[in-house]
Amino acid sequence: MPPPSRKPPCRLLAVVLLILALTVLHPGSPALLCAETPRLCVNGVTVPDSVSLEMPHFRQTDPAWAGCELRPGRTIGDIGCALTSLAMLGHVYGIEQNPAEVAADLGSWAAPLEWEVYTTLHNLRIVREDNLLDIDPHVADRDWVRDSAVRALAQGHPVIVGIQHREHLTTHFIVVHGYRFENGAYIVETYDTSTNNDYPNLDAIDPAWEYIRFLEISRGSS
Amino acid sequence: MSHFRPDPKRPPQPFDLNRLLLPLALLVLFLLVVLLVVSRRTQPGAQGTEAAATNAAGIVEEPSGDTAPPTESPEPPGLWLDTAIELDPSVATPVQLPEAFVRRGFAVLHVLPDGRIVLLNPISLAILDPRTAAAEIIHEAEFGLQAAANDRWIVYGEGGDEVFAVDACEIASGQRRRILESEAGYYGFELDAADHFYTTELVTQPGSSKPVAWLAVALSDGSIERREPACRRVADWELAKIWSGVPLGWSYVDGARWYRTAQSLASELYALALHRLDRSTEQFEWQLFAIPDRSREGQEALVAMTDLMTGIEPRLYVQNGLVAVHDTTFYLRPLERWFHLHGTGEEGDGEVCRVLALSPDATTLYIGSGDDNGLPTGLSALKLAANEP
Repeated sequence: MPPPSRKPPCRLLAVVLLILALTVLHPGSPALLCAETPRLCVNGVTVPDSVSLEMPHFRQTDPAWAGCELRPGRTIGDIGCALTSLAMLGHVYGIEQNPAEVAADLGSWAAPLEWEVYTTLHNLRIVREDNLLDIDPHVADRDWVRDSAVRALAQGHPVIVGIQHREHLTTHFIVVHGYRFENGAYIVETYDTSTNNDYPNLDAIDPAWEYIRFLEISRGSS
Repeated sequence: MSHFRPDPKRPPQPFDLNRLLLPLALLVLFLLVVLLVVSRRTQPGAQGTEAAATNAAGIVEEPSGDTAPPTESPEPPGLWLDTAIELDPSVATPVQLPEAFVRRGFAVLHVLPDGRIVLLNPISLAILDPRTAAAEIIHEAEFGLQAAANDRWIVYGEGGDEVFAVDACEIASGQRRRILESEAGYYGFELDAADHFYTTELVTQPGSSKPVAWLAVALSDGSIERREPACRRVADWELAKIWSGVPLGWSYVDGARWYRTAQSLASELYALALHRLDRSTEQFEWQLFAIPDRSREGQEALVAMTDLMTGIEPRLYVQNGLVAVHDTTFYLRPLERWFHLHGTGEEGDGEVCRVLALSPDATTLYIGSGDDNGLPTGLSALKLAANEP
């Protein structure tokens, strides 16, 4: 009588272990969640590969509102980058106003723009704000700005960033509306209100500019 | 003749796959175990993971009598964070708030010695008596109201970022006076127990403003001391006096180590040691220290309040008698115990709770409730005696 073969249990064990390994190594597996770099996580969950928030791309120089005066002698076309960014951002939350309508709503708070007046009017909330004037200005770190924008967008929150030219000290504001993970990196997509540089994403912003503001805006309490 | 030389008379054996499968299976099993261990260690939010003997700032632990790690002998609950006493917030009594604070949320600035609470939001600043719900409005604004308070004074101003005028209100008399005014403005509001108001003085440059000095204004006589703007937080200043080389600078680089400080108006000073492990997963090693004896110098002044922990970045929050490391996990100094608000803190499912303040007699805990945005819109009072085991 031939001795009992041990081959089938060995094969079975190997197959079971391989199935287990494939289960654990699957991209969605909790064991691998957040283990892959540089994929970003929010509250322990990897963010989606791409997010795009619906909003129009307004230009300050659009003739429909470029000449709208914000303060004596200064128009949206001249100094309305923050206001125009805010008008775009509002569309994410169903506030379908153009820059001239936002300016009319804000009145004297349109220039210099007071973000809080707009968020109060529309029951929005600034949930993350960073300023170069802060004691520990996170906004001075470009990687932090990119990652924080991705995390905000992954939660459905649009972002406005302020930049300042290091030499000329000119300031400018841009709205962040989406991102995509491509070739191992996050491309954070922007709508620039100006046609001078027309930055399409954060990486395109010339290093001559430094970040001075970061505003993540969400819906307020219901 | 070597045993390993092939025997030419013996026919070649077919390759036996099973001989390879067993070691391969064992190798896969080993790798699985390693992977699971690693993934558990990097799991966000995994707190209470004890790690190396050195703390997050690289300090070797030298446990003293009251900070010795738990031994195997039974200890009363709450001595350490991982045995925090569970409190049930559902038995707390709601406190009626003025409508502006329900609508726009609020922050607790300070609990006065008589038990009244100073509340602030961008449009309203008020003193609320939580026992009677009576509220005294100190100031209202269209937007951008900022303030600080201590036992005797409330200092406030208006502005989205910088404020251009700062007023002080003496709580007992109700008298008010302007203490600072500038076209360039001031940034930041902080008060200490010795009636000094701290803010950053700005100068205007094309396009923006920049800090030029850190001001300490004595509210008693209005005198102003100008300090270098390198250090602009009272607790940082206090810790740097004790430990001159303490690393205080925030960093977004993996592997970076620094301390974040906080001080209550009762001059309870804390330092949170942070070690950024992985910025993509928001993982830190951290450890909370108290500085009970300011006559000691350097790192030796720091007394560990927690083990070395791993998890998301703690939200350090301090009020008199209370230090919280997350919204619902906190230490009450008068009771010398760690507590946790039971069944709360789950984000994404509506209302969440947050510990806000302790009454001066340490019998009542004030809890905020609100939405996922993190701003309380409701306030309730939890009697500690009724809740303690």
